[in-house]
Order: sequence, then C-alpha cells, then structure tokens
Amino acid sequence: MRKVVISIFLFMLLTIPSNAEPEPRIDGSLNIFLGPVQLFVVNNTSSLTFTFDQYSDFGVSHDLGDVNYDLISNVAWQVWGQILDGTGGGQTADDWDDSSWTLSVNGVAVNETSPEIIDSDPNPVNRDDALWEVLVSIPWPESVGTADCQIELTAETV
Amino acid sequence: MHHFLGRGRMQRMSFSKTEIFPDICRYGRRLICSACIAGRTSLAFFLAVVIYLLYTGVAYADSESNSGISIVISDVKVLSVDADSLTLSPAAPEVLSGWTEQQTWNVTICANVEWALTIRGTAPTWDGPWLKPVGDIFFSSGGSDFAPVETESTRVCTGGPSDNEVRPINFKIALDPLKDIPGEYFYGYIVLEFETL
Repeated sequence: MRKVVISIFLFMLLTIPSNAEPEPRIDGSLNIFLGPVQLFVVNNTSSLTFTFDQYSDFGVSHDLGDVNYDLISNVAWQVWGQILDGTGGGQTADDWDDSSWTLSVNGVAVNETSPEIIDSDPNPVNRDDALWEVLVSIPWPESVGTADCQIELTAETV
Repeated sequence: MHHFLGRGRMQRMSFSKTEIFPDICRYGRRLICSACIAGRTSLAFFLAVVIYLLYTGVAYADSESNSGISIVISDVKVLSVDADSLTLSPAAPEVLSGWTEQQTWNVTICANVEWALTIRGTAPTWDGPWLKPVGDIFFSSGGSDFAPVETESTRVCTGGPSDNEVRPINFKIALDPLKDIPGEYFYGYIVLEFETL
C-alpha cells in the first residue's frame, strides 16, 4: 500500500506542470541572393606621352607610364585590351602604325585588329589604385610626326 | 508498537501481539490491527493533500482567516515581430560598398516588468557557398551604432512595463566581394529573446 502511494506521489510530482512560463522568443532568418558583381574603373586623367628625340630611343621599349585602375569582382574575371585609332577624345584618326609599332599593357602586346586578354584570374579580386605598366616600342627609322591612339580596356566576368 | 484508540485522542502504547487485545490483533502471524490500518490511511490521506496542494497551488495557512479574493499576477511578457525573415538581393553598388541596404524588424513588446531584449545567433556561420560568419550580420536599435550579432546574447534594448511598444531593430549585412561569391546565403538562426531585469 505504502509503496503504491509513494509511487503515485512520485509520478505525480514528475508530471506536475511547471508554473514558470518560458521566456518569449522570436526565431528569425535572413536570406541573401548574391549575383556576380564587377567594378572596373580606369583612374588616369591625362594621356601617357613619350617623345622620341634620340636615336637610342628607337628599337627599345619605353615606359609610357601606368594605367591606374580599380577592379573588384566576386567571380573569375578577365580584362581585354585593344588599340583604338579613331577620333575619340579629340584624337587624330588612323595615325597609329599598328603594324610596325608595339604597344603592351601589363606585358601583353595589344593591337587594333582584335582584343587581347591583358590580365585575368579565376578568383575574386579587389584592387584599388592598381597599376598596369604601358610600354611602347618604335623601330628605326620613323618619320617625324605626332601619333596618338586610345587603349580600350574591357573587364568581364568569366 | 500497536495503536490504541483512547478517548477522543489517538494514543500509543507497547504491548505483545498475544496480550490483552485479541480482538484488535487477531490475524495470526501477520497481525494488522485496525489502528495500524488507520495510521496508513492517514499517510495516504496526507500525501493526497500534498498532491492536491501542489496541483492547485492553493494553500490555506489558517482555517480561521477571513474569506477573500486572492489574485496572483505573474510577470507577463509578449513578443511579436512584423516579419521574422528578411530576403536581400544586393545590387552591385551595395556589394561594392561593403554593405547591404538596411532592413528593419519592428518588434512589438508587451510586458509588465522591466525587460531587456537580446539577440544571438545559434550557429556560427551561414549556410551557403562559403562559411560566412554570423558576425557579418549587424544590428542596431534606437539610433545606436551597428554591432555584430554573436553566438552569445547581446542586449538590443531595454524598457519598462509597456503595452504594444514597437521597437525597430535595423539589420544590415557586411559584404566582401573577395569572399561573398555569387550564390544563395541563408542564416535561419537569429533568436530574439526577452530577459527580465
């Protein structure tokens, strides 16, 4: 009898509902849908120039300066370069001797006929005020004159 | 020890099973007197009363007290939010700026006590293309500076007794284009909790 009563008593003790209410809470969630993002900006504000006034200037590469750029990409990326010899930016059209002269950006020769990949990476990138070196080489002899061109740089995700 | 019922009172006295109360103890070797049964019944009754009081939560300390009304008001806190999920699709300018646009949860609070609202994340990282840390989630309330959500509770705001008081909680997510590659990121482990002060 006593065992039965004690057993019932213990069982009821275990099953007595608690008077303490649980603290209220809110369970929330966040979702982000992220797509490919790329930013490419060339910061140069003036032209890169070089004057060939000595014999030794010809036939060798000269550093015209650098392309200063910002590049941000959260996916694989590549940048194309191509010479434009038109009237853009007030320049004189068709005065760049693309067949004889060599212009390179970041060590890659670029030309007027087709774009070339001058830089790429399968990984995301975040570059600020980064530099690509621009070199030009003109073989001897070359007649007196002033030539200009533009370098079109295009970034894309891969 | 057996029991003897005296005049109006329960008394106890020692005697042998074979002594002078054969009518009380007459069940052979396993003698159980009626008084013993009464004693065990009393134990059962006592336990029953205790159980009843535990269940009802009501105890009358003095049978001579005046009758009246007893009201127990417990601490009551109610928490609700207008939306418990946020979906963000940051455009390029946001990614490049390093932050998503700011989003707001309007938390409505009813409480009859001094309270604090806390926030925490129950997982250290997001689900997604990479293990984006929970600390990339930032919150602010009441004009405070944005602070990262952690796996430990952080106090968001405090207040006193209130009735449907709305407290906006602003969220924004830190973005890093070097790490946050395209894809879907999910963090379903934000917990807002009340804390009684």
